[in-house]
Amino acid sequence: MRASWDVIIVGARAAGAATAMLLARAGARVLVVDRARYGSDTLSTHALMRGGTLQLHRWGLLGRVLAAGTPTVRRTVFHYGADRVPVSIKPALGVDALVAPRRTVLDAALADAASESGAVLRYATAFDGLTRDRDGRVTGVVLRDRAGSAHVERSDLVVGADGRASSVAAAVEAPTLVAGRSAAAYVYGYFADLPVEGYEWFYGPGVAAGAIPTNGGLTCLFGAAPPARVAAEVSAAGPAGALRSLAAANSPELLDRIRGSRPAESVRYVRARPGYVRRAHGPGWALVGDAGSWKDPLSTHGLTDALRDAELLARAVISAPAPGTAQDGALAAYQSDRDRLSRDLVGVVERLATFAWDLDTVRGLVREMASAMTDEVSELAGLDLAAEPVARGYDPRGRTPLACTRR
Amino acid sequence: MHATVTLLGSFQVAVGGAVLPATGWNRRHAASLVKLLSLQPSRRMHREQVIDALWPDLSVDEAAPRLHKAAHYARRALRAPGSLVLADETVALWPGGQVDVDALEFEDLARKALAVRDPAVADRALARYVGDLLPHDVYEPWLEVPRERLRLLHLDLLRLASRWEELAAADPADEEAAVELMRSLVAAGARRSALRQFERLERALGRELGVGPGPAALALHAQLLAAEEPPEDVESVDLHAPLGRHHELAVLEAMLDTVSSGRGRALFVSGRPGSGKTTLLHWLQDRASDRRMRVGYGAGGAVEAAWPYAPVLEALSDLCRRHPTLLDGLDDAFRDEIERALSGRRLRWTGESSHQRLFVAAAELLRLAAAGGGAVVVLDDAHDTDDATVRLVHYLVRATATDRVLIAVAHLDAPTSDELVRVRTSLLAREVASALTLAPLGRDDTEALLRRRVPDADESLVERVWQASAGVPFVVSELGRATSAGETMPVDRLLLHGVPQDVVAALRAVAVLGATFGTDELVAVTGWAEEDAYAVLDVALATRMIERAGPGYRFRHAMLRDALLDGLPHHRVQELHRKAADALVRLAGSPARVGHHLVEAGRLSRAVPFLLQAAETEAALGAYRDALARLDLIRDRVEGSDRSRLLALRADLLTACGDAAAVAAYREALASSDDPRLHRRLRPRLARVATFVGDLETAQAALEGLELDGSASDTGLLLARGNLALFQGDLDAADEAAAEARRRVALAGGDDWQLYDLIALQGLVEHNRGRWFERLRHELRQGSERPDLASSIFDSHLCVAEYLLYGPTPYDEVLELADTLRRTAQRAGVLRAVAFATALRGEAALLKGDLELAAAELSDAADLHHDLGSTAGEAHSLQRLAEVHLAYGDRRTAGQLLLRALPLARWSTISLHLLQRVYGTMIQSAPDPQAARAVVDRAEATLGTNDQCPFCSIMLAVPAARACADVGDVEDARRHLEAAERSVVLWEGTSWQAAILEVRAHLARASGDAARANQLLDEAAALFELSGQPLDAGRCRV
Repeated sequence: MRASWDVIIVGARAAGAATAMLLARAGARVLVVDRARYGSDTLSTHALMRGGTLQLHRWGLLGRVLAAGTPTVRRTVFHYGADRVPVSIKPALGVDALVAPRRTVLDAALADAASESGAVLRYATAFDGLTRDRDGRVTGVVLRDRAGSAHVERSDLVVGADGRASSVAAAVEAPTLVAGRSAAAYVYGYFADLPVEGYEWFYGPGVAAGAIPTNGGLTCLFGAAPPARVAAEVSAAGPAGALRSLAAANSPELLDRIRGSRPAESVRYVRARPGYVRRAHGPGWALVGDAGSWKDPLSTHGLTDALRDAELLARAVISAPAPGTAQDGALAAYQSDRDRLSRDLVGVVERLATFAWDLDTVRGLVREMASAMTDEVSELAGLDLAAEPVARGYDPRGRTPLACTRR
Repeated sequence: MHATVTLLGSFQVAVGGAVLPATGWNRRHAASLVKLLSLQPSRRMHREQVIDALWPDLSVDEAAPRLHKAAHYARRALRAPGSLVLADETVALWPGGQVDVDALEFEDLARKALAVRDPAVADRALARYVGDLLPHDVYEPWLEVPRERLRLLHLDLLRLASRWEELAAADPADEEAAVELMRSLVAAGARRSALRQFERLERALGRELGVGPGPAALALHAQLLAAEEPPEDVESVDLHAPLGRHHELAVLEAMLDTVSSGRGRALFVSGRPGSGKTTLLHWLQDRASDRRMRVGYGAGGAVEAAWPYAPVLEALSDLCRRHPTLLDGLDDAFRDEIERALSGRRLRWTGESSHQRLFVAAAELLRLAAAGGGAVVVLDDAHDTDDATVRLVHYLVRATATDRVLIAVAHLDAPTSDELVRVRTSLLAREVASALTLAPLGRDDTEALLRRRVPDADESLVERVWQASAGVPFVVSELGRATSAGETMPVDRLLLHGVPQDVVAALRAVAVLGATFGTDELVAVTGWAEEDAYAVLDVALATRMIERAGPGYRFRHAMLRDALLDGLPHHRVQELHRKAADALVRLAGSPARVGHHLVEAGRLSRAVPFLLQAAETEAALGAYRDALARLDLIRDRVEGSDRSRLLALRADLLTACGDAAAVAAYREALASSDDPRLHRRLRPRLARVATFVGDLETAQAALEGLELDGSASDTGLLLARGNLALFQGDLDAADEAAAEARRRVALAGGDDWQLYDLIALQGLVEHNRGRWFERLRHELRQGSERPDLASSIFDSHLCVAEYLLYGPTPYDEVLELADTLRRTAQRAGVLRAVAFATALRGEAALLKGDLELAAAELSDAADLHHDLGSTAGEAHSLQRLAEVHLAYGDRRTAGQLLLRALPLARWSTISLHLLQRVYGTMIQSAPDPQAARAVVDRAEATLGTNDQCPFCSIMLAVPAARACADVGDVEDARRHLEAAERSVVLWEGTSWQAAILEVRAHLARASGDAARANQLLDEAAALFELSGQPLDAGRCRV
């Protein structure tokens, strides 16, 4: 008997909604479930790098994000102690400015696009476990609605896009391939009237900070340091005091800017969690976004990764929709592409998060980061030319082309 | 009263319909005042706004009298007392009168047209835009914003009116215009004209890093090319790995391995023409790309007399075109610097600051490119590049020694420039480079190559080709091509065979331009009708004389281009160059190119204005020696105002190189003109250089009659006065001048490159008074982290360095300070300061006894200074390096280094300080005591007695005294000791006290008092140890 869904995606945020959108656009029957409600906020650094912005542009969603009042970013300023290095974002590969939308804007834009493409999204629905066949292959999910009643949905492929604490990853016991050792702790908040020139990254001895212009005229400001230092600052002066103190340690001028601004939301404290790379696929399942791999937010590259991997996974599934050797191979290729494109960045962020650098060394790390992102963007831009799998359509039985049957 | 003011295209004022004479506007500030006020819709401005615009360097109080003066002359030019009114803090032009200003009328109409999106209104507005805003006032900063605003409005109107041809002409980088124009040309069946338009777009975009035509233009271009007939011979031998080059390919693979492991390398590939250098490098690029390395390609001679550093810039540009988002990681300042050099625009140079950011910018971009899998930069035909390029390559190889960078350089065996030979030798000796020489192919490989073309070649053909080609791969290939077309001919006629005479004539005309050319250039140099020129391109492509490359075409091989020009009589070649120059003038080609072709055409006088502009541009890009060489070509041909401009530029360039000939050059420049502004600008500079070389009389005369005038140049004048007073022994006057200069530097704000001059001066004053200038250490430490300050400390601050080295600052602290200084300067991109800091580290390491570090830093410093054309710094570094080798016990190497340093030191601006060190070290490196004594005599004969720096004389006096004592010449030893004792007073509390004790010991021994000698040596050793100079202490203990 054919399953009710071609793909079930657990998690309707950036990675999940983007994957759903791409699969649905190709004609797949996609169900997306999320525990949260539509349009809710979540912890994020917001900043999309060129690769992430390029993805929104390629998918035709950049206009929506901009229409929601998301400011454009045409410059990145790196502060190394007192030294200020401005880098202009010039038009290239179809992207002439970067964006850092609030998650209420970005996730909603992606979810709307998925829904418009025919994916079915169910919010306030929790993942409660997997169903498997006698060989252990995943065949569907057990879901529980807000009232607490459970039911089963069947599918050939279940995608875990449910974030760092992924229940799907736990249920399939996805092995950890790479476990990071270093991690920073953070305090972050949103401020009105905090002027920024674009993305601004600050590096000081043993500290870092970032200022990111986002929707509503707000600037997201974070301070980062080794966990013990942040914990001590927070316990001494609370999260807001810790943010001020870390900002001052990076740049007295940043502290002045904070003083001249108005806090829009309370400052939050985020404890350190080392990065990881998990196995991204198995019989009947795949992981995407933070569920599959995560690195310390010092790279502010998580969202860009999510939008990249959503497309890599969608392409793999579309190219081999039916369970079997071909799909196993396609999913293995998805994982190896993901890992290849992440490897350099994972290495750099691991070193950044140790804070065992001086201002000269950190310049070298930032250079390596820029170089790694260049490879990634080139590869994503190259996908345009090879867009065929998405255009060709989705055929779970391997026939092409398929007359899509949308529910 | 009714007046009209014309600001578009030119400047003119008419009152009551009568145009006022242009001669009335000779006073620049009076004219500027009228122009500035005319641009305000209300024709009035606050007094301080006017001052900010016209006298940005002056305080309001200082500028007020100038404003009044300018207003006075403006009224006179306008012939009406009430025309310009200063009242109630405002300045107004014809208050109450009716004044029509063309620029304002245009702007008004343009905004209306754009608001209603009406092409007809746009056309009306466009009719009023007869030229850019005040196009002749090129260097008025206050005009830049309004000029650009009106220019952009003009472009927007052209777009609104769909006047694509004009839009493309006004802004060749406008992609929409180019695409629309291409489409209409295609529709009209003008395929070649459409391709030509694409060329223009691509060339214009190529001036920005990482920018190329967008998808619409590329798609159209691809469509145009698809419609083209393929050349008769589509097979490309380049698809194969080069034949018979197993060894070379293995070397390249091994180098890529080395580079991938994180070690930067250079590779020199040489061979005769046609030996396959380019083919080998293409293979290298492909292999590197396969390994995920980033690649960039540039070639010498692509454009004859291109801008300085062109091949390297082309390679970097190529790299960025392939990886445009790499620039997301490059500091804007570095990007701007590379683009400035890449633009081919004429640049200005004030002669004052010597910021050579380009070298550091290029290295940073390379490091960024290499940060992932590595980067390979290929520079082909390096024998055909300017010296500046070769020096930049030298620097880049050394700067990326710890990065994954391979720089591959191909050049002919001969002829090559001295500079290329020097750089090659230097890099090979440092073992950071490898060399490959491509020998002719053996018979078997020749046969195999021939069979790629002629698979069924019989034995007799193989033999004939083998004999005729001498194993040169390109010739083998061409012979094979001819044979497969059923033809046989001697090699010398082979290359142009089958090319019609008129095509040969047209290609000759472009061949003088360089290895590459564009359609516009072909049309312009031949003077032929478009259709005829297009036909030439078709035939040349079909016969494979040329191939498409970048925005235009290139000769398929250098031998083809050579074949076109070889054997032409001299007068024909001159004629070709003349036509090339004329064509480039019409195409607004760069002054350097026009000047070059006029020189080759024998039209030196006509070349003058172009070469002057070219030299200024080179100077602005830091290619000082190249600029000087250019000026020397025409120095004797120049007359009138051009002459004083040339001479002033030459003097500034010599100063920038630290060349003592600057003194005579400034004198010559001043004698050539009575212009008071020129005198005001150059005389303090002459005084400064003359003071440094010890010609105090000249310095004194240069400053006489110069008064402070409240302008920004006052600081320079004060410093010149202060330095002169110091060397004249008038410490109070020096101190006073320094204090006043400091006040003005503080007023001018942070970005003042003269601060270190000031610190040095104040340090010297304090020192002369027998006090250690503690503030020096403090300010150096503070300044070392400020890019604006760290980047202004150059080799002329040698004495500053010596205080640090011989004063109470511990060497580890000096090393650290110099390191901070170097890193800050590196980030600011100012290589000259990097070189200075590197030398300082080398010196500190030497005195500390860390010979390995000293050798590394000083070698690097010598190379850096050489690449920058900084004679003084190079001489100084070489002299110190000689000391390192002496400490190793290698007198021979030390001697060789000193022989290199001596002529450089002699002709440098700091020869006064340097020569004594060089001779001092020569004495120590002499093979035996007698030879050392002979050097003392030579030194005395060369230096004379008066032109010595009182501080630095100790550097010669000490070794001279020791050498004389060691051969028993007690009398002379005493004389030198006395000189040293006079100098040591200035070095209170430094290790020179120990050196004096050591000399006394030698004297005591010469006088037969061994016990006293030993006692003095012990004391000297103890003092040396106290100063942290173990090597010197060790010598005394022995």
